[in-house]
Amino acid sequence: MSKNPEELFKERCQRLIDVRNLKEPDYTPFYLVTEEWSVYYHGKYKVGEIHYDYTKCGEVAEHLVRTIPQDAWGGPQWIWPGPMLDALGSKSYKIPGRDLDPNLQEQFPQDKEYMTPEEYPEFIEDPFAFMIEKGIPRRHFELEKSPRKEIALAKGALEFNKWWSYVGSLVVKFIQEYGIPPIVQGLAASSPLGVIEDHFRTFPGICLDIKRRPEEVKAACDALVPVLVKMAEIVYEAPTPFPYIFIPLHIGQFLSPKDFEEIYWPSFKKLAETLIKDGYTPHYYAEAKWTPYIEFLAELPKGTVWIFEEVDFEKVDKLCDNLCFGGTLTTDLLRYGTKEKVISEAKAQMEKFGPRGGFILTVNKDMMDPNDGKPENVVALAKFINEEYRR
Amino acid sequence: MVENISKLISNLKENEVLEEVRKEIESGTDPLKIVNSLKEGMLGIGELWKEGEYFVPEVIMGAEISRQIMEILKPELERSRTKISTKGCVVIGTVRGDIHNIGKNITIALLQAAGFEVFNLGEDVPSEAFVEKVKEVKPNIVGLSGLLTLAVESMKETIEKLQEAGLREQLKIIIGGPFLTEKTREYVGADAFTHSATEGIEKIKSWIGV
Repeated sequence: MSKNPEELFKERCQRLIDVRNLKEPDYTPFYLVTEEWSVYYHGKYKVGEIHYDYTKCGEVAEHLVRTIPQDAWGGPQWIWPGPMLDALGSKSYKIPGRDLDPNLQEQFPQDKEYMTPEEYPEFIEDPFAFMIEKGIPRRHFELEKSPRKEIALAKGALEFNKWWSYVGSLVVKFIQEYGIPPIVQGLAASSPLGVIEDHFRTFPGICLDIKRRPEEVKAACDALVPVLVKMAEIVYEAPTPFPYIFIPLHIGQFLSPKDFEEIYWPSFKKLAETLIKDGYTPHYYAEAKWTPYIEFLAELPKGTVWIFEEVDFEKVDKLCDNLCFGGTLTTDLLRYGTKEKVISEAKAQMEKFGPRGGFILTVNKDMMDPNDGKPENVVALAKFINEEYRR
Repeated sequence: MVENISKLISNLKENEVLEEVRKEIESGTDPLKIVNSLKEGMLGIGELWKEGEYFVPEVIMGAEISRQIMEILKPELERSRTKISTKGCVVIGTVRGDIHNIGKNITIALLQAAGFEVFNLGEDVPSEAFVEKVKEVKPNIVGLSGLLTLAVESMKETIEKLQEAGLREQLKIIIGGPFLTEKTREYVGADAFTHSATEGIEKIKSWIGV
């Protein structure tokens, strides 16, 4: 007998809470964060169209949760809506259909520095003021001058509200009709160093800063922590059942363990501790290779979720009894494997790591491209989990 | 001393090495000698990276030092009309649809240090541009770079276009990007794949026999 959405919602939430609390759940939770992949999977629209038409975006998301039942909805297909970026005159995002082929994925090139290295002292003094007065206006050409600035801000806020209330309506719909809780609610934070990299200095820029002015970089990271906590509080003021904060990581794992320890880690840890204390669950997407840094992760308080792109999972399992992890399924397996192979590997992984408690069956990347997974494999996996494994 | 230069580069002593280079030029040292020390220093950085002593920021710092030295040397090299001899020629670019360049640029810096002539086509490069450049400069190697999975289809298309133009046989093609695997290599039809610039360059050297 199939369960009604309310029952499904309750048991799925419990499963997610259990693994976050490192308790063995009834079944290992299974979900995929499928960004643009879900647009290709749906097949009717170009990615570029979806950026500007929220109804189409909702259609794509609903198709996903209807045909691939999962324990959580990973959120809409991108972070910021096209009309808002246009209203503000964003220079930093490349949107399909506007800057790229309409059938490609949104990209964030980091091709320009929005803060000079000489500005570190000013940033350290008051990072929030620097962000508002210099960082954001420099990254948006409509925000450079008054009175255009005020008009653009009003337009941008309006567009954001439209988008955000649409996402909110999807969340409610998916809970009521499919019993599926949201885990990623659209806004991403990052590590303090990641924020400086992404929005101010670029990847090569921050690498040079670490070598040329390590003390200033460290001080800037430390100064950012309270600002990032405040931003999380504003954005997640009324957390739904899942106060997850989606945090993609893309800088720390490129540093030497020495720089990682001295520059990256102190503010990272402080931010994680504060967010956990405030009742949030940092949900990290750990891009690239993480094995050299596992020992650091063991220092974190309980209550974080880690999806790894590439790591020695045995070692994480052994050393980190403080965290919930996932990422054992690879996009390569989903793309090039057979259905049977995908199912047998998934089953083996759930049997191996499931009993530890903190384990989520998920793929090692945000799925963005058709080559991140063959639809028939993903569908077969969801069917196996829901209809066979959990019977 | 010109020999000092390579060591200062490997140790990432930015200010000291730039000062040293300027001093050498003033005292009339052959700029080619400085170029050789520069290459040696960059190779040292590549080695330290391979050994796990250095990480990406150190390599980027090395490439930045190397860029500054070449800027100082450029007028000298032009004046002395020196031609730098090469071990082979590589055409490289980030394939269509992908706009990322960090991995590619690190690879270029290390390829140049290893003595290769490199033609950098930039980012979001259509397959036709690779075909055109290959016809024009007849490289030994083509390097296709990408950060996102979407690059897979463009890599495949580029290799097919090179094939159609009858250029595939004379080339070795290497694809570079963090998401690549033996399965993707097979799918796109490249000769090798790599996640690391140093490993990729080793592969290229073994193909050319240097």
